[in-house]
Amino acid sequence: MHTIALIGNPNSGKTTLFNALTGTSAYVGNWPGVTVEKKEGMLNSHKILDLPGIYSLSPYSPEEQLSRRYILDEQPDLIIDVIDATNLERSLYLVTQLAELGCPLLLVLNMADLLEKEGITIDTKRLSQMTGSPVVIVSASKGTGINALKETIEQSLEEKYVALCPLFSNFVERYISHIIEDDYLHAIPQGRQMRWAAIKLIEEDELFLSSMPPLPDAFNTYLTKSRAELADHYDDDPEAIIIDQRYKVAEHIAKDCQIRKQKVKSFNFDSIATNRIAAIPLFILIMGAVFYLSIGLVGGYTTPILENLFGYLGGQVLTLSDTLGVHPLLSGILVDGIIAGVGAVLTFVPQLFILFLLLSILEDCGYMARIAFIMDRMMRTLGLSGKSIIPLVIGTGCSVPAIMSSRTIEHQKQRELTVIVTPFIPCGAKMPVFALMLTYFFPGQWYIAPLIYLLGIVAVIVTGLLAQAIDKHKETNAFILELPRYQLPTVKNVWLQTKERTLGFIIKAGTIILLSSVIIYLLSSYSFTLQTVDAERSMLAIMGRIIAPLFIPLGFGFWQASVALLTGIAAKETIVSTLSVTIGTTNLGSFFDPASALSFMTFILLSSPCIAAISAMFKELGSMRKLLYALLWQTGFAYVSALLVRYIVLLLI
Amino acid sequence: MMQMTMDELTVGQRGAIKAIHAPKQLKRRLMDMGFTKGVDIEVVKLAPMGDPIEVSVRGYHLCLRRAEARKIELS
Amino acid sequence: MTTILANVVVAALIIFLVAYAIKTLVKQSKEDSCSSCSTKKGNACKGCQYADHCNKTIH
Ligand SMILES: Nc1nc2c(ncn2[C@@H]2O[C@H](COP(=O)(O)OP(=O)(O)O)[C@@H](O)[C@H]2O)c(=O)[nH]1
Ligand SMILES: [Mg+2]
Repeated sequence: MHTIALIGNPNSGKTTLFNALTGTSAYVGNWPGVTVEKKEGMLNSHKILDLPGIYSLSPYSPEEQLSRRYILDEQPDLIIDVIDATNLERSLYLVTQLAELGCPLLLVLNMADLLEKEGITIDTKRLSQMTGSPVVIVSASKGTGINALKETIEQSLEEKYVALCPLFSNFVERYISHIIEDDYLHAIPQGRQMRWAAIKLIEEDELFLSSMPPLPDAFNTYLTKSRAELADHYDDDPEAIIIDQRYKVAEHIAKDCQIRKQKVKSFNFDSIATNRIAAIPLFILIMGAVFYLSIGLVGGYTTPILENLFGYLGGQVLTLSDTLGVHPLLSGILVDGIIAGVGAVLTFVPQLFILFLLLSILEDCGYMARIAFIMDRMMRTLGLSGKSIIPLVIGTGCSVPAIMSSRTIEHQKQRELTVIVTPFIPCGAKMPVFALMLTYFFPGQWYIAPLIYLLGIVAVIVTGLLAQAIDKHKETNAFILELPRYQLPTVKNVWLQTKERTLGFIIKAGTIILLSSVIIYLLSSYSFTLQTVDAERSMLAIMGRIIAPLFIPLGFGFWQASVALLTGIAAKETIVSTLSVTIGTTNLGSFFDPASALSFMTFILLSSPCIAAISAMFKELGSMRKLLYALLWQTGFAYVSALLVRYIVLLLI
Repeated sequence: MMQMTMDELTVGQRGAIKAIHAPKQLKRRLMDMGFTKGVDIEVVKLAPMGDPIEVSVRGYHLCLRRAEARKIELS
Repeated sequence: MTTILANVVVAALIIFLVAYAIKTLVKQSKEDSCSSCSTKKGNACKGCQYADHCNKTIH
């Protein structure tokens, strides 16, 4: 079995190609940094890996390091460099680095469908000659050229073509060949990468040096002298000289193989999307429209229908079982447990489907990177980066992928802060809880739902400002982001992603929610002596009463709310199913009043997220201590806010 | 002669890179993205509050903050 | 007679649903913990979405 690695610039279509080759449905989106982990699949009994995008083999952010580490340490049998054919020059810069690794290389020119529109023609034969690697031209999203690519992959694995290393100027080459001759390099096991190693030594690459035995003194002196001579000759530092030379090679190849006609300027959406005045209002409008369409329009229409449907179903099943003489325990589990609990959650499928659909359209069209661009200035005052806005937007769907996407933020402090604030943005699973409470207590008061999102945003801002205030070592840091081209969202990508996320929600309803509904029903029907009792004396009530006093100041100090919050740790939708099993969705008014309903929602909005999101936070924060601080902050903040909300509402009413 | 840096360009203006005066890491990143000596760039757009700026380089678009643009000297 | 049958049917339905839910959860957690990696043909490892240590040892 061979291992094949897909490498390339961010957004060049690696994941789309990976999906086309393996027939899977990994996460694709039109912004740099969608893929932050490696992902594997099978192609004709070869293992094929999709890796995070990189611009060069000198990584900056953790997900880029993963790619570098992978190809250097694991040495795949074939590297497929996926190139955005409309962006040849910069892609060739990465080729000049990959060629030196001594691993067979295959160049895939992707986005063939765009070449004509952009007025570009590429001489693939010439490109293949100049790089010493086979070149295949494909369109991953249209599926053209995939079969030819598969054949070329097999051929490359057999023939093991050796890529041509880029040749630098004579002046630089002289130093490289001197260094290669030194015994130090002959001692290292990766003999076939000597040229690469020599260049790394000239560049003084820290990651490389730390993986090598210490340099002998004489050799070190020689290196220092060489670097000084190079720096003197080119009036720049050695690392910059090498990058410069690589780009010269890339320019040379691109010029030889590519003809670019002047592009005809057409109307572009960007002139509005990033317009200095219209940009931010437009962003707010778009997000508002996303929520209005999903929650307001579709949700408002489908929720009552589905609620009635499940209510009717439950009623019918109950009457039927009663006439048949089914034991009340069994019919109770089925009707008050499963149908009530799962039904309460499934009610929200249509509106979440629309929400996920709209979000994936946003992700696929190229707008995400623009949001980062227009919001950077504001985010900076919060100690965040423009890139932090991407997790916040994705987070309205689900916090887990959102938290993971924060990995593209290069700066550690900003990254961690982003991870901590992302769960403040209410995810799709919290929506059912809000919808349930809002339709019961505030029917027709449409303005409260947006206020909840606003409160989430306020929490982000407060946390950011506070972190800024405590932070003693303010460092300035860079924000450099490629802005991908706009495109019509591909039906396949949007559909796959929407389907995956909606299915995930339904599966949760059929698994976690179903189980917890049954357990909650049983626990609320029996006492510790296993006698059927009314809910007030049940095991669940007794357990809930242990923590319930904590919530008395917030106005929901009864055991049903505490139990609901606890089960919410498994998945936020469980709060709805638990409430519907223990209280009943039509009976909320005898437990909550409008003030405590709002404080309950506030607490759910801001307190620590579900277990899946917590474990995603742990992965990104990388330490238990930081995770605990984060959860403590979130929950403490939630508590105080809920308290404030309750008393403000009480004062106002 | 006065030194000119990239943040001084207005929308639509072009320039050629002369040198990057930035810490090692940042300089490398900028160069990796294609800002090497002699390359032509054009400022395409400014974000709502005038910062960051969108630049076209080597046939693609990228954005960076003014603070970074200030470190890029043009000829 | 119908009463017994009805009870059995309802009990069986509940047990089936619960068992199915547990089975799905177990399968999912296995996928997340990467023990399903590189088994099925043409199937990307779902776990790798969440774990970067995944597959490091399988070669
Ligand atoms: N027009 C066109 N778009 C493509 C093609 N392949 C991928 N894309 C789009 O490019 C964007 C980035 O794709 P993705 O696979 O996530 O790139 P990755 O970051 O390299 O994994 C997505 O919006 C894709 O729909 C192609 O062949 N033609
Ligand atoms: Mg990808």
